[in-house]
Amino acid sequence: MAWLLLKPVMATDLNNQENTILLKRSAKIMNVYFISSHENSCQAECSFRSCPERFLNNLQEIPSLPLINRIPKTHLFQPTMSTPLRNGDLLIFHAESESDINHLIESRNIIEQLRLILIIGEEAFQDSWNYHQLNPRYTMNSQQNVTDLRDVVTKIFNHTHQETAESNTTNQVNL
Amino acid sequence: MSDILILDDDTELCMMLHERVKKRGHIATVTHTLETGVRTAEANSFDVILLDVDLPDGNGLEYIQRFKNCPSAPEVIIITGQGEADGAENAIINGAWSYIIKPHVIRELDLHLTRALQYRKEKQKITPVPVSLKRNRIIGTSKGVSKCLDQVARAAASDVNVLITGPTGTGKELFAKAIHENSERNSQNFVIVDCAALPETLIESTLFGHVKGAFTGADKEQDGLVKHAHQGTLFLDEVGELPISIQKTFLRLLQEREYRPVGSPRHQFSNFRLVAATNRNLEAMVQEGTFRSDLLFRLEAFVINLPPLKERIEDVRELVTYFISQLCERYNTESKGIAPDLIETLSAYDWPGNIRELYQTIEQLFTNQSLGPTCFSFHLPEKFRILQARASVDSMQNQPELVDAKQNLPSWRSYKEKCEEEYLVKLRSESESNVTRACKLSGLSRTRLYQLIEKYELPFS
Repeated sequence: MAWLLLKPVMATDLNNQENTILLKRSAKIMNVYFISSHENSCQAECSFRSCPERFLNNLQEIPSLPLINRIPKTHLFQPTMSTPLRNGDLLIFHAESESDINHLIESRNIIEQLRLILIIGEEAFQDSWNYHQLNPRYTMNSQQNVTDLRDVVTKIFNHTHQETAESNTTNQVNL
Repeated sequence: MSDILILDDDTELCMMLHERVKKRGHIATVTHTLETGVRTAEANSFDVILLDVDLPDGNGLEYIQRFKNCPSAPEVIIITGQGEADGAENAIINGAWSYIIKPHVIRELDLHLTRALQYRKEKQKITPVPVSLKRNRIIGTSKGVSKCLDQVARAAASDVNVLITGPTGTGKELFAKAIHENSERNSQNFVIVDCAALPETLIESTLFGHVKGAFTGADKEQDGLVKHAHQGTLFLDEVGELPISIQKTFLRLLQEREYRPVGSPRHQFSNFRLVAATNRNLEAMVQEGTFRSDLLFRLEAFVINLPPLKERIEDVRELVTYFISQLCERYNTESKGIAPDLIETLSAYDWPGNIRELYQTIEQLFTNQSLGPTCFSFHLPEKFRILQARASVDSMQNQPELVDAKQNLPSWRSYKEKCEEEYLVKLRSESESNVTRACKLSGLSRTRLYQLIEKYELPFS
C-alpha cells in the first residue's frame, strides 16, 4: 500500500532547489489507519451503534483528514516489509472484547512506535483497565458518541501538522 | 563553614536564628515564603534548610521532598510552633532530618545543626551505590542522556511531581514511563492523558469521569483517567496544551488529590503520582497569561530537560544499531551490517525532528529495495545523499589554497595561520562575537581564544 504523502517532495525538484529547501522534510505528517478485531465487517448502512463501520465511515467524512485506510489485522500481527504502518502513524483499533485487548497487549511491542486510539466494547471498557498497558492516546467506549472520536482525531492531526511545520521552520533557521 | 537557609514567616525569629547561625561560623540566608524559598534553594547550594510548617503560601511539611530534591540535596530541619506528635511523625516520614519545637529552637538548634552537618559530611564521603535502572528502550551513553537517567533514578525513588521538557521527538513519554517502571508504583497503571488530543469539551469528563445523565449522551456512569491512575502514575503529556479553564480545576486536584466526576455532588480521592511533559516554554506561557504560574510551580518540583539529538550526536551510532536490529526482528530478516559512511552522514545532520525523525529515516532506509546485508548511506533517502554531496563540495571550496598563484607550496606556518584565521572568522560569526559561546563551540580555553583574537586582531565583544 502506498504511503500517504501530503505535498510530496520530488527528487527532481530537490536537485533544483537551494540548501534551505533541500533539508525541508517531506511533508509526511501522519497516516491514519483503522483496524477492527472483527474482520468480516458489515455493510456501511448498518445502524448498529457499536459497529466498527460506523466509526470508520464517520471519520472518512472529515474533509481535513487524509484518507483513513482500513487494514486487516494481519498487517499488525504478522508485519511484512510492505506493511504500511510507520513510526508516528495513528492507529485506531476497534476491539470488541477483553480477549482482543489481551491479544494486543501480548504483541504490544508492534505498536510501540504508533499513536494508538482504542475503541473498546462496552463490557471490556467497564470491567478492565488493562488497556493502559498499550499506552493509548485516547480510549473510548464503543457506545460513545462518534463525534468525540472525530474531534480527537482531528485535534491530533492538527497538532501534529503544526508541530511538523514548527520543526521545519527551526531547521531552516538553523541552516 | 556551611550554607543554611532559614525559611520562616516570623521575622523576629528569623533574625535570631540568623545571628545564631552566623555566630557558629555559617552563612545564613533568610526567606519568608515557600515560593521564594524553593526558588532560592533551587538556584543556590545549601547544606541545611530550617523550615517552618505554617507558612503564608502552604504547609512546609509538603515541601520537604521538593527541598531535598534541590541540586545541593540539603538536609531539612523542621521548626514549628505546634508540638504535635503527628506533625513530628509526618516530618520524619517525609524525609526531614529532625523536628524542633519553636520555644526550644534557640536552645536546641546547635545540637541538631551539628549532627545534621556531621551526617551530611559523612554522607558525601560515601560513593553512591550504582542503581540498576530499567532503561525502557532509552538508548545512548552520551553525557546528556546519562544525566537524564540519573534524574530518572532520583525521581523514581521519590513521589515528587516531575516535569519533563524537551523538543518534540526526544522521547519524553519513554522517560516518563521509565520513572513509573522504576518507582514503587510500577505494579499499577501508567495512565496517559494526551492534552494535545483532547478537545476542551472532553477533557473534564475524560479526566474525572461522569455520572449518568451528566450531559447529553451520558447514558451510563463512567470512571475517569484520574481514577484509573489511583496508586499508579498519571502522565500529563503536552501539558502546555491544557486549556486555561481546566488548569484551575487541575491545580485543585494536585493540591488535594480530590476531584468530582462531572455531574456528581461527591468528591472522590485518587492517590496518583504526576509526571507531566511539554515541548513548550511554560515560563513564557505564564508571562503571556496562557498558563497559570501556581500550576507551573506545582508541576516543576523536579525538572528533567531532555537534550535534542543534535546535542547528543554521539548516540546516533547506538540508536541506529538498535533501530535496525528492531526492524530486522519485526520483519524477520537477517541482521544487517552498518557501514561507517552511514553513521557519518547521519551524524552530520541537525535532526530537527530528533529521535522520531531518525527512526523514520531508518524505516525508510529499511524499505529501500536495493538494501543488501549492509546499510550504506547510499540507501538513505535522497535528501541525505544530496546533503552529503553538497557538504563535501563546500568543504573542498572552503579549504585555503594549498598552492599560491605561482604554484608554490606555502610554508607550514603561513598555511596554518590562514586556516586559523578563517576558523576564527567563522567562529566569531557562529557565536555572535560571544566569547563564552565561542569557547563552548570550539572547545578552546578562554586564554587560548584571547591569544588568537589578539594575534589576528579580530575583536569579540
